[in-house]
Amino acid sequence: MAGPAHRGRRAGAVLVLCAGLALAMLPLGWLALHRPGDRQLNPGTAAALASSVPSQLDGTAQPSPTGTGQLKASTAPSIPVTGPGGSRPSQPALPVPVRLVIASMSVDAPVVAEGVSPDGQMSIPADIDTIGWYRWGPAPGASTGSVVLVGHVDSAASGPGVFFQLRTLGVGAAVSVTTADRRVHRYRVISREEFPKTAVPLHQIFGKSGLARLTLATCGGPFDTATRSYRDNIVITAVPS
Amino acid sequence: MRRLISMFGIVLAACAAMLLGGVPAHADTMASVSVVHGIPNTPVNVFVNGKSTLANFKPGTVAGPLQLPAGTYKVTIFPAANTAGTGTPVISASATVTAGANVTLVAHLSAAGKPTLTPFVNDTSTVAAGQARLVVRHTAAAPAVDVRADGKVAFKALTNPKQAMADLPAGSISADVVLAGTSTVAIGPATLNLAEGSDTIVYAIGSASAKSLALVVQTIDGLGSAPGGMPAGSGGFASPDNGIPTGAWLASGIGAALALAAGLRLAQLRTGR
Repeated sequence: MAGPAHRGRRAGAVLVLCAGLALAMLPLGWLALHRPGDRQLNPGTAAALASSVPSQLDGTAQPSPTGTGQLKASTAPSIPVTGPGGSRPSQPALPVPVRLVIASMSVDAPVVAEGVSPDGQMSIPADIDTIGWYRWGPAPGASTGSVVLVGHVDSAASGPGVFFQLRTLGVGAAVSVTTADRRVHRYRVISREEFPKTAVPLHQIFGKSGLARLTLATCGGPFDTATRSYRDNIVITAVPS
Repeated sequence: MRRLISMFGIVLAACAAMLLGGVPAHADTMASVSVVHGIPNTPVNVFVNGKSTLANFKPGTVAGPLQLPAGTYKVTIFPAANTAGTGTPVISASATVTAGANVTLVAHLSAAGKPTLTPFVNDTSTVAAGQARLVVRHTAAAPAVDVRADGKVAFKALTNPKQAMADLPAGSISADVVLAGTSTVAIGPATLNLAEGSDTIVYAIGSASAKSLALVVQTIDGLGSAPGGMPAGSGGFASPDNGIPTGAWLASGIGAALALAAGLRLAQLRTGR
């Protein structure tokens, strides 16, 4: 016959058993809260921007089918003539971006111009606290296309990088880019997407056409320790605000 | 009413765009055609199939591109004073343009100094990210030349009317033209801004004996491509797999140990009754 003391010990052991099992399951719970599907916000929005034709009010960089200067040429096709020398009408280059601030992520980092590595990928600054701007694409203030800023999520040698928290940046977050002329270009985040590196829409991200936008990118997703690389790219799209 | 007017405006604009060739209506049957005037001191009128197409076209200039249906065209070129397009033309030639092609018709002097028309097909295949295409066309009354970029020979022994081509890193280069195999500068140097993702086509025009050698530059944009990727992490600190916090694993271990101990104790209590 079990006494009250015995029953108490039994209940205590059951409690400890339950608590122990719950604790043991903790890593599973952590994973469940960090599923890739949950890491995206407004996927597809950026693709729509990339294929949009900017409004005629936005500037003159895009070919204007309603250019009034040409309409006067009656029915004969007006043939643009360049020259003498046939040289390209020189377009003054826009000032380059030099600094990126994302207050909600505590990022205030220098931006440098980057190009293409010998392997054909975009070159990224060696310093994990410096952000690379794709110099062959638009600069802030351009009337069309995507201004691309890429930063390290981390590096094996130096630990977490400037875009370590990019995968948590929310829609609506304020982003500002300062250009060499000290002008501050303000943007607002509209989407966060995650793509396997084999399926990143690079033509859209590096697109020179479509609505003016800012694209921030870094690596993310599962890490392959053999190749020392991440499976995915995290892509944030922001629009001028 | 306002909506009606704006709709009418949109339709009108679309029609205008079609007429002007801004929107190729049948990209599969059209060709993109440009014209380069490479004969010094001779403004001309260009007639295509007997129709005045380019009036008072100045030497050293580029006209186009124009979207034309694929086919064979009769091109006649008269001095600018001849607006009727009758009599003996400076050049009379026929040019065939194939569907989808990008062609430049160059009115220039042959090596012997005779006015002629040469069609060149432009390579509009994509250029790798960060690169620019440079094409040099010898269309001058001059012997074989070498083309140098930043002092180094880039294209060797080019003769009229041949071309040479290379994809190079985008940026500015200083180019000059020397007599083949020598360092005797015939044209230049000229600074060329090779814009990323574009094709810069340089024509050597004029006549060596008349000392009228010069360069004409034509550009074709929109050939660029995106970089192949964005490698921005090598640490693995942000991975959701490896990223399960050490604390979670620690708690998990402690929890498992506790559960095991509690289970054993339960069994003990049951058998020890």
